[in-house]
Amino acid sequence: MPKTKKNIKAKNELLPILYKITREVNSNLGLKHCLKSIIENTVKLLNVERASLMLLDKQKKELRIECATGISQAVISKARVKLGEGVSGWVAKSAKPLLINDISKDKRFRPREKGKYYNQSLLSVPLKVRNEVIGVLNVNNKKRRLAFVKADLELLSALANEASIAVYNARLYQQLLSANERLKELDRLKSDFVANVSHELGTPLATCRYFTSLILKEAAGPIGQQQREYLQMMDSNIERLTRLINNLLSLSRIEAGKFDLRRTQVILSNLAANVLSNFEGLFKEKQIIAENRISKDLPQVFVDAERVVEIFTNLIGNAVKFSPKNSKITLDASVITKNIPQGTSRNYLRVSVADTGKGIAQEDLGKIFVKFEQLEQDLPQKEKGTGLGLAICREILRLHKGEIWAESVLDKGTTFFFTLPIYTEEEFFTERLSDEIKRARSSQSSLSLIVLSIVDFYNLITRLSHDEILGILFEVESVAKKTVRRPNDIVIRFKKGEILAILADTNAQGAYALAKRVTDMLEECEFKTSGGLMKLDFEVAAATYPDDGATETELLRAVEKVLAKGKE
Amino acid sequence: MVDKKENSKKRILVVDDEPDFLMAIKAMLEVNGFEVLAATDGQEGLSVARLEKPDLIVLDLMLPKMDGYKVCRFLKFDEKYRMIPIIMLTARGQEDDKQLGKEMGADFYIVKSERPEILLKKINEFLKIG
Repeated sequence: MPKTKKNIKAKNELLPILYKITREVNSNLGLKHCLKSIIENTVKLLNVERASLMLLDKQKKELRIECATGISQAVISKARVKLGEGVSGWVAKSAKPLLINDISKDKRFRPREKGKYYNQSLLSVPLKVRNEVIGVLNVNNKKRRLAFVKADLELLSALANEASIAVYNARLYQQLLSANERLKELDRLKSDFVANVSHELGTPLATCRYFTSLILKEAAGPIGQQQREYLQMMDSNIERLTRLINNLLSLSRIEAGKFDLRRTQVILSNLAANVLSNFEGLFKEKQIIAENRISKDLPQVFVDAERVVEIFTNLIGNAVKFSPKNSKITLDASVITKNIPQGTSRNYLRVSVADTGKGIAQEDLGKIFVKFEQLEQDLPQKEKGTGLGLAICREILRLHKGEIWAESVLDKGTTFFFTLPIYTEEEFFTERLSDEIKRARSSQSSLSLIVLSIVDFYNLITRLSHDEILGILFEVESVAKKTVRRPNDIVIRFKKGEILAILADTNAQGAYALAKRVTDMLEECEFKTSGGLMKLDFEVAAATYPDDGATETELLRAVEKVLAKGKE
Repeated sequence: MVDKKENSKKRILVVDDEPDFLMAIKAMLEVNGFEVLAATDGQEGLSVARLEKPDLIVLDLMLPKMDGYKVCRFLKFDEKYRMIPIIMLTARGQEDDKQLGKEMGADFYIVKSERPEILLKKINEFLKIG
């Protein structure tokens, strides 16, 4: 075979091995594993007796063996080579490769421990990261006493390059890990601080508030007009400080991601009416007419009621603050459809809180949702806000996958709008499942999902009417409902003939026991159809958090996989 | 304000470890015609509650020796004291604590820094006054 052809063939054989190494280097196998694989392949590919990979300790200016073959463990753990000393030291210092075929004839280097191991030929290349030497890759004694050639040098350089990347990646990862640890620690300190502040500030403030109120009520003796005025100012400033602390706490909790929504299905109209009733005193004082036009017939929303009350309270509070006497505040809501990026659309409930106050200039509309941003307003001290209310509203809505914005005409009034997603029954179920998983994660408990599926459902669809199918599914649902604690934890998948149920605090074993009990009960049942009573067969599948999946999608996929297998 | 005579027999136990706040809340309740028993830690609170059987308890959450939850649980799990309404005082930012407290059987929660009128209104509701 001509020499060039032979070379090409040899190179072709190398490619898959180099490719494998590259893949290992870029995967998450850990540095030790990567370097071991590189050394093993080096010995094989270069056909040598020994190979060693040394890393440079920058502070001590010495090289240490990180990984090697053909060298005893004692030597590996003890060997230290000063920068500039010996072959490795020379390569590390000069950042140049070295090829020596008979070291005894090279005056620059003398084998240090003659007799222990014999080095005749050697090849040594630097490991470099961004032009900085981080170590050396050495090979000794080509087998059958062959000489090293230029191709060997090229190959070793390629391997050294891979090793450099592996070391670099591992070091970066290590840095990232420790930076992440530091951040976590800081975050923990911050939340501890916030919790302590809330407690430490709360009690003194409450004490001031109680005594101020007592003196104002003349419980400690009569007070004069001037004293009353001063005390009232104290009182309203205590109120302001309290609100500021409360808002700061809410915001810092939301920002820290520590805010778990407690979502339930809510009729918004009732919620709004409750908040309005809290404002009755203020409305009377300013002779404001408030109207709740939010219809009771609108679809329910899946929200944290306390947080939505906070939104309403903020928006209505603002409206009252910026409205003149004898004005009007109107609450309304309607269903809107918005296109979402994936080319589909989603329904939202769009809620509005409108006032007939002095309005906000167009250029200021964007600013109002920014923390501590307060517009220049001539407000009495008592009505000064904290500059956090709208920022909190925006964060709460972000957690609910909704939005908030304002429209305004100067001297005519301002309308605040916010949206809340309206979920289909199945989406609602998925959202609930996601909440349950979060809860299970924080309480380190398990959670199971079971799916009851009617066998041969597609055949059933062709034989029965829509109403008959629905009737059957409702009956199946009512049997399933007896087994879960909360009826909301169940959903019917009409198109698939399935009943899905969330089982809080239930492990895989519990889920299967329960699923079996339900199927046994269902297989006893006789379902009404126009053609008389019929029995049905059921399939059941369960998936448990965290064993079968960590997210709602993973759990749903896990149960679907089980059901699909059953159908094969 | 409530008629003093009508409440002369209603006794409220207040448990809080901050002497100034304890004094403030005591004064506020006394002005409104209640008799006030005071305790400054959880253990003391529990023993006073058992000994005196007050008509209502205002209980701070964070207390030395025994926290508010425990006091609450001991009383609510006991036939003899179960009927005594317990209003828990919490600091803001402890929504999780609130949930836990609910499971421990407290009847109501009030954030400490809220206006005193709110606490008073709730007490009157529980004692069916006014």
